Amino acid sequence: MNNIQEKILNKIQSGEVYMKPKWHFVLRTGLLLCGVVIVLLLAVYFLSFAIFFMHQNGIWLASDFGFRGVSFFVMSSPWLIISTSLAFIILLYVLVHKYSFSYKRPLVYSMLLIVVVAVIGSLLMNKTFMHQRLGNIIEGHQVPMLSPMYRGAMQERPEGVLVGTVVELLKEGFVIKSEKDEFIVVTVTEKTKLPPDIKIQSGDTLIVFGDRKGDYLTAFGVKTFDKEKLRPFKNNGKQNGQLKKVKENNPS
Amino acid sequence: MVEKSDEQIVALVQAGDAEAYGEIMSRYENKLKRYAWRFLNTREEIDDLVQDVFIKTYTNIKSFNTSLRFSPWIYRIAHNTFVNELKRKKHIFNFFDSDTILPLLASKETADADTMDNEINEELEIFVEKLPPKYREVIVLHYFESLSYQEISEVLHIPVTTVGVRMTRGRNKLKGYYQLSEQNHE
Repeated sequence: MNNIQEKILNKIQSGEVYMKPKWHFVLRTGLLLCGVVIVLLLAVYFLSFAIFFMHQNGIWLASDFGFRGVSFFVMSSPWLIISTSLAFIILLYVLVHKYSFSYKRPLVYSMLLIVVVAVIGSLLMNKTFMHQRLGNIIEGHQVPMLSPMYRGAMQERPEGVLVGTVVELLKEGFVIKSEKDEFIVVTVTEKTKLPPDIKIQSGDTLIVFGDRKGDYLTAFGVKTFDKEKLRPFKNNGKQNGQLKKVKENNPS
Repeated sequence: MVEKSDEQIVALVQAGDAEAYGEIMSRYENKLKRYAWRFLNTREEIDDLVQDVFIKTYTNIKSFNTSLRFSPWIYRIAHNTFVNELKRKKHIFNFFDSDTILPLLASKETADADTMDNEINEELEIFVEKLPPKYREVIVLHYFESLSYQEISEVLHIPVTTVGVRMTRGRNKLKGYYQLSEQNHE
């Protein structure tokens, strides 16, 4: 027996070096598994919230309007939420990397597998209307982090997205009464993509995408919108364009 | 009498037979020292590092599943210890290594592979220390420690295809060093 072996055996016999008990490893594996489940749920939660956010705000529909619509969709997407979900996906990869099913595959495959699981999980989570219910529960309460998130998704729409009912047809567009009870003049140009086979009439409920300046919006895309999904948004104290004033400025 | 396998001895250690651990150390001490000095390119602190590996192995031995092979498991502990040593000294080894990111085609082992292996074996000792650590390690584990690609994959926690690719690139680099030295001699 040489020096190293003797030293180590002496340390073992003196109790300086000892075997960690089996339960230590069982506990560690259990904690790791809990961590994996929690991180996976968080990744799925944030990803499903991002999808919920895009659906709620209507920006999902913008992608139907060609390049302009897609770029609007990309610009208006909740990147902070998506990045948070991606961060959890990366963390998940780090946690599962010690297992052979992960490290025996190239990183791209393992990551893709995790992303696919997260996407499927988030779509399933959205099917349960969990966010809708959670948003309704949270409404009126001040829950740190969650309240602003759900308010942003359920009570606000991004600049450039307008949902409301047509109240007046104009020569080059129409006047719409928004969910915030604002009267907005929508200008329709040659480039505006309108709903096919439908002539816009007073009383139609529409979602309009475009560049908004005050009470005016130049549309690049218009779609019909389900009346049931109209939401009475809070006006934040702003009472804008009176219909009368609008009419004066834009005679039909 | 049939010699006990590593796994059988480890089972005895797990049951509390500390003396049996002496046998494990006898079997692996030289292998680990050889692995350490070839991988780290140094003979300094080798004894301390190998001692460290044996202590970690003993401390964690109850997490080892005796139905699996012991050798990749102890080499994994050694690999982690040596990589930490390299990081401490030179700050190398990235978590996201380019070889493991994309799916790589398995390197084709040609019919000449054995012949080439013999040629390379002779030159290996001289040039292996010039290789970057990630190529050096697979070459050392395969040619000096006789680990299979599968076992190297388990030691390094990388796909088997990546082991093959690193092996091919490592061998090509060795051939390059050899050809360069031949030219210099001429």
